[in-house]
Amino acid sequence: MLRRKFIASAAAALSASTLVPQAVTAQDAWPSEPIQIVVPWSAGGATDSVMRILAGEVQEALEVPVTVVNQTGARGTVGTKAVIDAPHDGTTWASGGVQDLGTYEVQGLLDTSLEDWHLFLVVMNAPVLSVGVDTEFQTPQDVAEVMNAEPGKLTVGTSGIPSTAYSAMQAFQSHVGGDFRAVAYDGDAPTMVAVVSGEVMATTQSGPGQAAMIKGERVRPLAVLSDRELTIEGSDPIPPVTEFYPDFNAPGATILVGIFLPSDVPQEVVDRMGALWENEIANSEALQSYASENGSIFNPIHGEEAMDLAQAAVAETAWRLYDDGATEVSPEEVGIPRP
Amino acid sequence: MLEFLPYLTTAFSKLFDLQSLLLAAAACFGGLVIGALPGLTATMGLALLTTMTIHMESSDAILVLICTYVLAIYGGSRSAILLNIPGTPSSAATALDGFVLARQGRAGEAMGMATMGSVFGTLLGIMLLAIITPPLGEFALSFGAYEFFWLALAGVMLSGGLSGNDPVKGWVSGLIGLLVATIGRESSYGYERFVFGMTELSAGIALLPAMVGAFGFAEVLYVMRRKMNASISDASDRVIPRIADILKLRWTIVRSGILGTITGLLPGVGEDIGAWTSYALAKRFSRTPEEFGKGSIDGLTAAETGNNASVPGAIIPVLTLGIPGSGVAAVLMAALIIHGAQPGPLMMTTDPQMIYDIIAMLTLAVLGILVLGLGLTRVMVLVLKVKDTWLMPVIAVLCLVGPYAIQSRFFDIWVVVAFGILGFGLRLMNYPVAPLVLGIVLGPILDQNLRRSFTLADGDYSPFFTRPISAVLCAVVVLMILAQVGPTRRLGQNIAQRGLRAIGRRT
Amino acid sequence: MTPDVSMMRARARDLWAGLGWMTFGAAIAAHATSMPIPRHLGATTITGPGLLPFMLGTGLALLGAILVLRSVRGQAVPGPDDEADPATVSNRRSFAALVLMFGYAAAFALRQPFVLCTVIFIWAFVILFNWREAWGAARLRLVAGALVLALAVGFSVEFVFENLFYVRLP
Repeated sequence: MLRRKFIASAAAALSASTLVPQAVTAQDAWPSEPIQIVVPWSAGGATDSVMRILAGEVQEALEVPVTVVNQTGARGTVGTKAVIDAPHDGTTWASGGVQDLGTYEVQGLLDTSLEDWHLFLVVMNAPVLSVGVDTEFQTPQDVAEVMNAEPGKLTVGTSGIPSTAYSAMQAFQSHVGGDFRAVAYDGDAPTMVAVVSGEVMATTQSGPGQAAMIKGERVRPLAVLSDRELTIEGSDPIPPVTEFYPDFNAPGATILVGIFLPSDVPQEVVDRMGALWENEIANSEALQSYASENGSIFNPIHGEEAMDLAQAAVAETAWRLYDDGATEVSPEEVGIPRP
Repeated sequence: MLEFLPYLTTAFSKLFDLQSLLLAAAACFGGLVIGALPGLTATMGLALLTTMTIHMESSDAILVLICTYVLAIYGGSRSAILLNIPGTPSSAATALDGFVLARQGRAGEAMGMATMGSVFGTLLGIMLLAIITPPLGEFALSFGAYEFFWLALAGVMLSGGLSGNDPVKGWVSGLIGLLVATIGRESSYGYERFVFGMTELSAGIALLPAMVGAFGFAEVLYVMRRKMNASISDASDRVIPRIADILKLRWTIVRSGILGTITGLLPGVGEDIGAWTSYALAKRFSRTPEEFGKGSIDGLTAAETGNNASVPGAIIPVLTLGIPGSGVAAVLMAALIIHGAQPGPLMMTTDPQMIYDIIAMLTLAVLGILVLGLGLTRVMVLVLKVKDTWLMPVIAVLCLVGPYAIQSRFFDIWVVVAFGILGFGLRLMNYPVAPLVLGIVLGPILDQNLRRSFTLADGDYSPFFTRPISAVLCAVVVLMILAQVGPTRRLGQNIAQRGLRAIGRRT
Repeated sequence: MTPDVSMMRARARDLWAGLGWMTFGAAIAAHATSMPIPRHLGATTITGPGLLPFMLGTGLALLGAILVLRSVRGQAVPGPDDEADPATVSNRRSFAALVLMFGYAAAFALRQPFVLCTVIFIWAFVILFNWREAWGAARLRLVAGALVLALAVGFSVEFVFENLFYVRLP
């Protein structure tokens, strides 16, 4: 099938038709052209690996080639902007975390808001509070104790300040009090190296980023910073932080990962995507086993359900950023009310 | 002790299917041509190929890149011997004796011994890679922010100090590379540096477009500057070397292989220096040092063994530290990252198979050297007759399409052009380009680890000098600087000469 | 080229380049001091974004000063280009190549049809640099040969990238 396609396209290429720019024409049954998923983070990361699996599933279901393109840089805005600039015909998909997408505007990074997109969510990644195996911490209370007794002594590795892991640690700190010292690393892998080697004491990177090290017992997970237990296949379940601090509530800390289509794509595209999500994606074994092996939570939702969840998460994240002085604009100004 | 065996057998068995073997053969031939053609250096070829294999299956892409890397370093010896032009910079030492031999009508013999030197050099390098990498990976965990800061600094300084003939210019080039790396949104606090309101710049300068520009685009301009093609020597004598001839040079080969691997291992010091140090050491140990430069098979073999042994050597720090051992290895590391591998101290934990896959691929490439190197002499003579004026426009097209293909960003085309002009200008002014590229790679590592160290130090700066590895790396940096200051430089030269004389006497 | 002449060339280049690096480095260092320090996020003067650019700018200015001082004192290290025979090289050829390549890059970046641009570029490049050496029938062969190469490269690159790698070319 692929081979025949090559010959057909070779013939098309040889005809002079390719000498003129191809106009975006109305297609009879979407999709008839290859689909590109733009991942705004580098290959090998948490978003990238789930998108590559998703691409395989979509390719099978829609019967068109689906490729993943990594357009990295500037905290994901480069890739997202590329999708905004591409034709809104449903063949170029944005991807990443909803919390990033929804706070670009308050951070003054990119002029876009949640309402400009159709959300098709795939997984949720909750932050896990982990410590090095050589440290003495056994429970989140131990960590809180050090933060209060000697503010600033606890070093916490995160992928950047601000970042989702940093926000999660701040949510924990504002709940238990005290202070910590954030040390910035360049993504999941370097952060984990720092925890394993003992350069920093703790981290709050998300589940998939830590999965390999938790399975290898090179870090000790203390709690998931959400209200749900997390099981990574091949290791013991990690208790939710609410088991220790029942009032802890930070919906923004659990990153909602999915793909995003501009809101003005043809209705036909939205309908087909909705069907795809309900039938094929929701039942995808590849995605389910990826999630359970890598510390992700499978969450195939779309439409209003996805939007409600996303709005709550974005509101919490945006206001936390604003209260920390990390944003340039008040969330109120761009229509995000305080939760 | 033997727990690596299953990994190794898996790695080899993965390569033994028709598709992988065909790909490897094609990559080996491509690498040979890239290395042999004077306008295509190994760094440029690998950078271009990385852009072109980006959409391939990752294991296939890495196989192609490794085979190309090894064969390109080897292929440089062809044009060094037949044209007196090193096809890739690491063959400069080969040209000294190789071309003299070719004029004496011994071109075939020279090519044969160069081939054997490369084969044994790579094999020795692979063995050392297999032995050193796993323990070094665990050891590398004791590298913290302080050590990485010094390592990155030492890498840029070593590369700048040794790449050209003037360390000051090499360091200028390295500093510019480091500065280029600071462009864009930095990852600690998300502040935009040197962006001046241009949205495209806030993502920073991507490594591969910059590299293809500085090596590829600039190389096309540099080659077009030459008015004529060099004339090619005749090669009709026996190519396949005699076993006895190889055995005669066994110590040269072993010495150069080990020295080459160690040279490759040092951050920022790659194949070029591997060849020169091996050549110098062979001359020092030779009973007939006066023949060096006048057609010495000994010298030729040393240089070729040294540069190829540096290839596995340069890959070791990529796999264990995430710091490239040479400019070409920097490209390979970028490619590994793009294909989802995470080179660094935890590679032995997270992806041990990758290390053995690379060992298997390197071994396959050695086979490529042996078969293509001894078998394709006629074809290669024809390849070397291709005219620059016909080849260069094709290279120019690939230099622009390839980097665009990585991220489909039109901005990257301008990056290629800008770095092409920058690289060309620097070469005209006699500034080496390799430190620039290394600077771009090591810049983020230097920046983040320096500031991270300050955060961790919390006011006490002694760990920069008191942690054992930090102290050693710091000493390297200080020595590099002292070696350039008048009085200390003369003192150092005296000591080095006396030391070498002492070694020479003992043998 | 005699050693004296290449030394003179290297000295003159070092002097001007050194002055250039000094100015450039100083400008960067000055700009770096104006970068803000995000203290509310826990940053200090030595962990702020401006630290490394400041150090690099200062270093560049220092190296520039060394080049200038060395040149004034009559020292320099001539490189391969200072020693090259001017008869074998021509900057005009590089400039011509640059103009063609820049034009092609611009056309590509401005999303002009890819195959057409590539064919024109390769064809023009080959003819420009071989025209003077070919005469009569050889010129005809040159024009035809260049066209064959250009068409082959244009279509095969387009085919490989668009149909095998699914990269969208303009």
